[in-house]
Amino acid sequence: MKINQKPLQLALHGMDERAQKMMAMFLHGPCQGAAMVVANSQDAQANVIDADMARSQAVLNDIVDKHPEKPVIVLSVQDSQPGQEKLIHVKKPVTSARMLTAVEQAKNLIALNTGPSTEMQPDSSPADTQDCQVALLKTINIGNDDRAKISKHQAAMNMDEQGFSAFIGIAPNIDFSDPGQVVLASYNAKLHFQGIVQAAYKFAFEKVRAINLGSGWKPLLIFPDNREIWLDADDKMLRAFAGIKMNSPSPTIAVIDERTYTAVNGQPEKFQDMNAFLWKLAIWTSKGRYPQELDITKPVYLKRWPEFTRWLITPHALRIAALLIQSPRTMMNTAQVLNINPRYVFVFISAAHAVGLVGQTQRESDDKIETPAHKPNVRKGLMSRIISKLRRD
Amino acid sequence: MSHYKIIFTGPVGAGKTTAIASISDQAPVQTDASASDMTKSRKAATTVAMDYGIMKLAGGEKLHLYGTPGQERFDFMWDILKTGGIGLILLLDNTRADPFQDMRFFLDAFKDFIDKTQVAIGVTQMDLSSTPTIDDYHTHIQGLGINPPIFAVDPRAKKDVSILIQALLYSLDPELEE
Repeated sequence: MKINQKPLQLALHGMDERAQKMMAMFLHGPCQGAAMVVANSQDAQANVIDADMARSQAVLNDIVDKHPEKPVIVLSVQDSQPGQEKLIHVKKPVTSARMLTAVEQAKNLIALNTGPSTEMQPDSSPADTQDCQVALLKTINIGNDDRAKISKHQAAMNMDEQGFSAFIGIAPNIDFSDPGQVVLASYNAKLHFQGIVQAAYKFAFEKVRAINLGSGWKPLLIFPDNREIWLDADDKMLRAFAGIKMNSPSPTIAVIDERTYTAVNGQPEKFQDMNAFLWKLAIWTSKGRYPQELDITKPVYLKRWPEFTRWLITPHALRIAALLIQSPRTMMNTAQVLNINPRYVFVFISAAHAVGLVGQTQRESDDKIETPAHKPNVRKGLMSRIISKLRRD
Repeated sequence: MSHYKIIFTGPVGAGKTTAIASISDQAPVQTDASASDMTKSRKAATTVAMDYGIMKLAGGEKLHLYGTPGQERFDFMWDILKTGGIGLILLLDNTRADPFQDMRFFLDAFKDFIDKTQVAIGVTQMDLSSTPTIDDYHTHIQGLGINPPIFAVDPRAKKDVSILIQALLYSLDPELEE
């Protein structure tokens, strides 16, 4: 693009000192000196505004009111808005080609302007600009004091194979080294606390109300609006209760009264994220078995990644998730590809199934899905060393 | 020796500088200075050039960690950073007015790079603003044709940043051994 020889003088709005320096470098380098930044807006031939700052419209209106004769270049992540036809729009990220086009347009407009006014008004004060930024922040409701609910924001435990049996427990009467027994290693969540909790979640969401679940153990309060539960029990107690089989569970559901609300709000550390709670409950119920509802001969798929920074991470869980996100596979094939004991796949699938992240292909044609051949990874050694480092530290 | 990088990107104040500092084996090089305009309300300093950190690996190899400038105004530096990158970490600030727009913007800006590698997304400040939820991000990203890891992340917590990077690497190759 051939541009006029004399650099266009630009005044910048909505950028700090260092961003202005960056823009000056950008105009001088990639834009080949087609324009330059001037410190004094009175010397400017055109204005440049960052339209993504808060209340940028007000600042823009002010610029246009004060300097109607001067072209305005608007930098924005958004497309040009209706009513901005008189402005020169440059979509971010700002490339040299887009900027050069804008500079050329501005020069043409200046050339066409027959009665330019050189009367200048001061720019909007920094204080004004700072006031504009307040609206950039969303209204944050600290009233609920979400930060006090520490268990919701803590990193979950990351477990390796050595800690699995001690932390998860051992499924009774199953030898996971025997292929014949492994395929029969299923469990029925409905006969455990997990099933009662899942049914209560469903009830709470359908009725859109907070409920108090009684199960013969400690009361579990469920708050569907905030997707939270409240339980006066630590993980050790929950782990023990999860494994108990209930042959004829008879749960009760009650509305939470005002006094209970007040009491639990005084103990915010006992609130937990609903799915994080159900995820670990399913792990401790499964003990390495798979859910009875799933057909072990059919492929399973993962709808999305579990929230691994907040949910309990079982051995190989990230690898299993990454593999099943790529394509559906049977649980046994997943174990085979990753060269791991099937119980690590089963326990992961149990947790993911409990929170609704796992689906199973039902159509016959889906059974014939060919899993993609794995491309050789030339950086495997390097990436394994990174993983090793991250897991060790 | 090859020059391998992981790129950290995202809007102003999302925690790129902090995340790199959390996992770097040496004091990261930063180019922060006090901010005086729109960035001031979000953080006391912002990154004009880039952040740089190092992870020292077994065998003497190094993984370089680069943070892009927080301002989304320029792309010429991003091209330089992307060369030799093995993956992208995108950090989003949940208190921003429209974090979905931020997500779309950065995914679009790095689309070619993501197509060749992978991306993992960390959502920060969720203790200050619990919405949008992680579910909401997944719902929103469905239309973009990718299904990356999206986690709540505290960039000050080494463990959070570590899990995010591990998810990125396993996305590239699930058969990597633990």
